[in-house]
Amino acid sequence: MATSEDVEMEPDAAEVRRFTVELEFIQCLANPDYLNYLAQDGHFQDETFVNYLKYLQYWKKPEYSKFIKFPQCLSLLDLLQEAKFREELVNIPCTKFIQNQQMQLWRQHFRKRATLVNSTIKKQGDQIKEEGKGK
Amino acid sequence: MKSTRDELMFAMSELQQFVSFLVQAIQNRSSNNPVNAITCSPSDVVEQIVAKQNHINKIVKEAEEQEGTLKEIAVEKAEYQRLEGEINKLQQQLRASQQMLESSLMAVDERRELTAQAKSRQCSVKDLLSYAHLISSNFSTQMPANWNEMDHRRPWPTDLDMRAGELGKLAQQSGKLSKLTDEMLAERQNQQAVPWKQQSVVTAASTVPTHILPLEQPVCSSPSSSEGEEMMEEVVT
Repeated sequence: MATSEDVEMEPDAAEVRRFTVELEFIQCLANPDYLNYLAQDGHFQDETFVNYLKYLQYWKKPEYSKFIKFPQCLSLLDLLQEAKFREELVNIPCTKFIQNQQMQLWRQHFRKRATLVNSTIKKQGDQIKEEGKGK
Repeated sequence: MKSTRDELMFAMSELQQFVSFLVQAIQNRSSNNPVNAITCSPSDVVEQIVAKQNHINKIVKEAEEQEGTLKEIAVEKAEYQRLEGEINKLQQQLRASQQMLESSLMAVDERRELTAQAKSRQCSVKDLLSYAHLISSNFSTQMPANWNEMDHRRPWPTDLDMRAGELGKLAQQSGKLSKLTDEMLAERQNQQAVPWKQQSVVTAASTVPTHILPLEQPVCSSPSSSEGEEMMEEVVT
């Protein structure tokens, strides 16, 4: 519902506010408990809401995605386009599974990154040694 | 149609016959008692022999010409075999080069597609670095090294994060959400995570140039901005 505050705001400020609100909402989609709440509250049965989720896909473009702090929300936004996924979110074991997977990825990313950095350093060291031998 | 060989053999057998006739005619003339009833004179037989010899000569000449022709045919056949072999070799080379060209063209098409995709999704190094800083400084994609089970930080916005943002404020204004209490705020400050208000997200939003905002109408029948805010107020609660 448009408030008088919005009417008095300049169009630029209103657009910025809409941007901020949509940015916050899309990042909320990274929270599996929040998705479970939306499913249990019946928001995914609302066609308008489903269309809104489809509309939010513009956030995947580089000029918008650079503002997203929790990039996992974009993967979940893609999954939310599927009706089957939206139906399954009602079940708490499903959201718990998603939560566990997110946490595992979060934990393992550190380890994987360390492995990748170490292997890159080793490969560069081997290359330098080979070049030295060649000379 | 008789072959040259058969004609020659036949002419030679006829010649042989005429020669034997001649010999018998000469014998009959020399003896008083003719043995065989040969009525023709030796001169007739000699004429026949000469005619037959000419005929044989003609056949031999034909045979020689045919032999020459056969030799030429053999030479042409050998040349034909050689050229056919070369043509087959060239065909194989053509097929091999065609396959190579097709695979190269496919690779070029794929590369062109990837380049077009990359160009359509271009972003500057500055943007990449600022985004890398954003996601790494807030530990949204990677767990902090000193993280433990008691730490409230997660790879998603927590309840307090959600309540402290613009959506939470809208919900509080509409009375659908309880205000953040002092205890909750204190707990929040004790957390190592930084609330959204202090994030570069809001700062970035305030400085975002309008030309990149989605000013065009949404693709689907989505609610307008004000209806969207109202809907999000409901969902936050």
